[in-house]
Amino acid sequence: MTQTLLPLEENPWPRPPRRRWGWIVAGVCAVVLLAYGGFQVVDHLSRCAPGVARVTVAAAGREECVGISDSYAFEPRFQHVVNALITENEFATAGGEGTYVTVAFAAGLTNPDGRVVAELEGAVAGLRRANRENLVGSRPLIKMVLANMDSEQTHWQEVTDDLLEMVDGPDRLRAVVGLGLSSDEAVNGMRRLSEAELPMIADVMTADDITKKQANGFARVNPTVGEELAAVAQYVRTTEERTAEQRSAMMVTYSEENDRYAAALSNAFKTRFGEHWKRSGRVSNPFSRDPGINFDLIVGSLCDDDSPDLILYGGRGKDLPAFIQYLSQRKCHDDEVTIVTGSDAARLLTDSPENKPAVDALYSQEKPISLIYSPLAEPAVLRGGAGQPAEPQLVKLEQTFRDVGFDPRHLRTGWAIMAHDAVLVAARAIRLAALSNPIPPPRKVRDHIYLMSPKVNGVQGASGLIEIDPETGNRRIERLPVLRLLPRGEPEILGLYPVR
Amino acid sequence: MRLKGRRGAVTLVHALSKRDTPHGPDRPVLLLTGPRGSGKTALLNGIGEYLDGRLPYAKVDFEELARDTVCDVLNMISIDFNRHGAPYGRMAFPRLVLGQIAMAEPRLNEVRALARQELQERFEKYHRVDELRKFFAQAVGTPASGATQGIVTSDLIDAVLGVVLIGLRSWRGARPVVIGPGTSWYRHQDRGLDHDPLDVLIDLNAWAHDRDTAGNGAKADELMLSAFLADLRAAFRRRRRLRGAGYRCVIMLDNADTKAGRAFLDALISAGERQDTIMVTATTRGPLTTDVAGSNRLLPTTETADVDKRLDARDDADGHWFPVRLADLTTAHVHELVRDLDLRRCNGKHAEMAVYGFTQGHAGATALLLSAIAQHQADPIDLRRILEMSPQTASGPQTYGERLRGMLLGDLPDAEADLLATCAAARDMAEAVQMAGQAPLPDVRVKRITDAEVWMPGTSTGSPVMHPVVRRLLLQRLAERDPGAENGWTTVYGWLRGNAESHGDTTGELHHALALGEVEHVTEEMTRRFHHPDVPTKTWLDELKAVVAAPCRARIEGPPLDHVNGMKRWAGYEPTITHSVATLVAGLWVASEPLIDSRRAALYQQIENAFSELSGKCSNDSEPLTAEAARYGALATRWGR
Repeated sequence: MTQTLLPLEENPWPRPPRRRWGWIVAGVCAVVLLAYGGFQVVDHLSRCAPGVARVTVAAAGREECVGISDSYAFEPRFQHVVNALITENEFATAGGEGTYVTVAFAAGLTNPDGRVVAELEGAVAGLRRANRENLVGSRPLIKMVLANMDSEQTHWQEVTDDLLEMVDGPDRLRAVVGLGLSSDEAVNGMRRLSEAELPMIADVMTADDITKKQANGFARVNPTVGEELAAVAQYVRTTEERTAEQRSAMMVTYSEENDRYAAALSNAFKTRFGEHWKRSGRVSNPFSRDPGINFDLIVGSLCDDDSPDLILYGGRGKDLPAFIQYLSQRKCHDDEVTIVTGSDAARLLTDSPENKPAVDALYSQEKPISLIYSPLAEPAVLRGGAGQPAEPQLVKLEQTFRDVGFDPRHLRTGWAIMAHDAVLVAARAIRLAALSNPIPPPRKVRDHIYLMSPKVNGVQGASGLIEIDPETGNRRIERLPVLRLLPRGEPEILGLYPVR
Repeated sequence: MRLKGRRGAVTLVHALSKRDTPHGPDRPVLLLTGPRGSGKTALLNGIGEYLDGRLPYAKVDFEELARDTVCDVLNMISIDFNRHGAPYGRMAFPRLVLGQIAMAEPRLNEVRALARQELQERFEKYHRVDELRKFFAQAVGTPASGATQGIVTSDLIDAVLGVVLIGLRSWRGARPVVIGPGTSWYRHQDRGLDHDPLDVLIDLNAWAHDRDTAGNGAKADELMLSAFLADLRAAFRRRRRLRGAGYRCVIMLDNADTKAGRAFLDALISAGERQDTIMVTATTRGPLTTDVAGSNRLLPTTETADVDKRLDARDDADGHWFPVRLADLTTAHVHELVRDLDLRRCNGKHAEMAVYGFTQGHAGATALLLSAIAQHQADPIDLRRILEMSPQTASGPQTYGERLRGMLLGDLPDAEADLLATCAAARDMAEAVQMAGQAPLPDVRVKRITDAEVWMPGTSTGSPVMHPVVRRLLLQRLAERDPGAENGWTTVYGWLRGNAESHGDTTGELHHALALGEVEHVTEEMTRRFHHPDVPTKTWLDELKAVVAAPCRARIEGPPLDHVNGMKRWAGYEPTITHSVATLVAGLWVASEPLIDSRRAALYQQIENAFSELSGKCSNDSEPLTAEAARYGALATRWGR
């Protein structure tokens, strides 16, 4: 039971005096510095920062900075988050080695998606709250490093290797949060991390087929695609019962194989909207990485006489604005078309020029389009919408955002809330494990992640009480909100529906 | 969770580790006394964390040693000093190693001249570095203790061997040409002697082979310890940085009650006069403290002990020892621990008070119960229920109660646990000893009772007592027996009651009578004494407190006040003095049971009312009763929601 008795700054025994080999050391240093200077010039060309390499990402067709850092902003757009992170890390590590452990936020941080900034803001806010508020215990303090696996997460191997080295290093890595999107690369990385018995808490990884079985140590705070679409399907059925109308649906699917989110959407549509899909003759329209022409053809098919009015969109949110734009320009089918999709639709809530035509289309009276989805976390619901009690931790998170200078509007998408909650789960597990060992081994932390199953052991996150199913690592969820996306204001809350 | 409340202990070790103080070179062995699970080992580990990289230190756990002779322990310490004192450079132990080589050699010829020749030849073998390394690696053996935890690398071995290579290599032919530090020391041994080093080493070889003869073992140990200390002095002389640091090397001996621990400490004290290179601290569960400081003396705690005062008192009765008790956690420490736990689904204040009430600050028990509460949060907090639950881990079906017993009593054989359960009925060791050979403990010898590790010496000026949490667990074992059996609750307390009565100990008689459940009898006696003109209120109150401290055999489940009302129903409902005293006897008795659940506000309220009523009827000094009423009123508020 090795324990730290007092803060290390109160260690009554002073550090040994330094050796007085001044001149020799100075001479050696001068030579080393000269050599080092030369090396730096060469090294600068291949490095972005200490621990961060400059690499070519073939899939993205550009150079990116990948690796692990506690102070390097991989992109200027989140420099403000890294500045806040540096402050929080200084606070966490003030007691010196042995008083803190490290959590890594790993993802494709150089992905141009606006999600990255929101996630990082949420994670840093979570770190601040975990270290400074009486929320999830207080010792050991937690430092955070950022791990970028490149925009397509193709450098997962190099980065996870570096993360594994940190487990026994002075920073004592004890958990990885984030983990990026539902892709094969992410799963490969998690499998490797699980070899070191590290717990991994995902924040936006929604594919149903990624569970603890793939990588022991995996847990997630977000709902799965299957759960999201079960709630939406329940809503659609309820509406049909009320209006006594049966709707038919066609499916629009993403054809790239390694995107597990898209695959999960496709599977869930078949399970949850099987009847609707059957009514349209099981129309399935695939699209690929460059979907323009595909979308044009897909929208054209709506002109058939018995064309469906429900579109099950099984692609990523990044292609959704283009799809909506094509749909708004349809030549026929003047009645409202309803798009059903997964939580990635929240991407339309980000303020970007490419979203604008799609947002306009969602408000247009001509060729009306309605988009229905179930979010990762919706502040309007968590603030007391849908007859739910308001979630006090969300209010506190909003305050933390204001305290550190983040824009609270970034909470709208739910990404920041999820990242915040993932950090809280990691922090609580670390601190529960630290009850028996001030610097608990990763395995103990992992054990405590899976002990968050009964209600009493859950973590009070900004998205509500978080319980982790020890069998799958999934969050235990009973009902989810179903929303109509209205990007310019609050969404229309269509109700809370069961996910089973 | 951080272990709280050890600042005083760290300060003590720090103060004693300083060199060059006005108190001279001698330092007593700091003897840290505490029951099992009280955090002694954790404290030493924590001090180790502090010292790491700042001062050479060593930690030896005598309960985990596979090889426990003085030489084995010295080897571990020499390795550990090098392991942890890296900033000061290597610390070589040439004298120690040389002596060990002589001891490890087969028995030398009895003819001195031939023995000299044999020894010289054997030393020649160690001119080869690899042979010497091999020898010392074997001497260190497989790591088996905290002292040599981790790998004993060749670097560490080389560090310890360091200078001895020069010493051995300098030995040429029949006579040493140049006497190195390792060999020359055996000539004078820092005592002005003029022996031939070879002769001394030949004697050492003989002592090692006949350890059990005529104190040979002690002589060999003493010589090796002197060699070790001489090596340390040389290191301090040679290493300016080490000297300049102004501190001694710290040796921490855990579980020093063992035979090996005592032998090492004895040897250290015999050899360690007037040396200023080491500071030694040892932990004990009590027996060693009893031996060096007696059992009936109040000892300072780690929070109250004064190093300067102790070092100034040169003729101190403790001689080479500085016995202190490891302080239990205070309510403030428990409060901090609870605050760190983030208890959301139960009342943290109640958790804090309930746990402290049960453990009385015992560090290990407090940590265990708090983690249990954190895992099974529920209101009201019911420690009895929690002790019967199992943690949600894969570590086995053990309940928290069983874990606690393991922590506090270790792997005590059943017979021993049974004996101690009977002894727990007694208020202190003296009373337990009186049972030896009597009805509750026939055929039990006094020494078996006094040698048990559960008695805490130095907690009061009277006889040693058990730590309350240890006693409570043992009493539970007693309560589980058939009460009427030879060693059952009724028999044991019946005997204790009779024994107290025969000694004219009225309070003791009432205390044991209450343990037997005789609330009415106790109330009548206490009412009688309340009316007695010669019994001052303060005395009466002290007696009442001593009486109601009696343990309770019955399981008190549900709201505690219900039980109190049941116990005093015979006293009716009129607000008489008897009724108030009955409320106090039953109420305080139940309140002293630490495993009642947290619905205590109403109980304390009733006790407050009873004290208030009694103070109104008190013919002389009512102030102590008023003060008690206020105290229980405050408790009622704290236990409220």
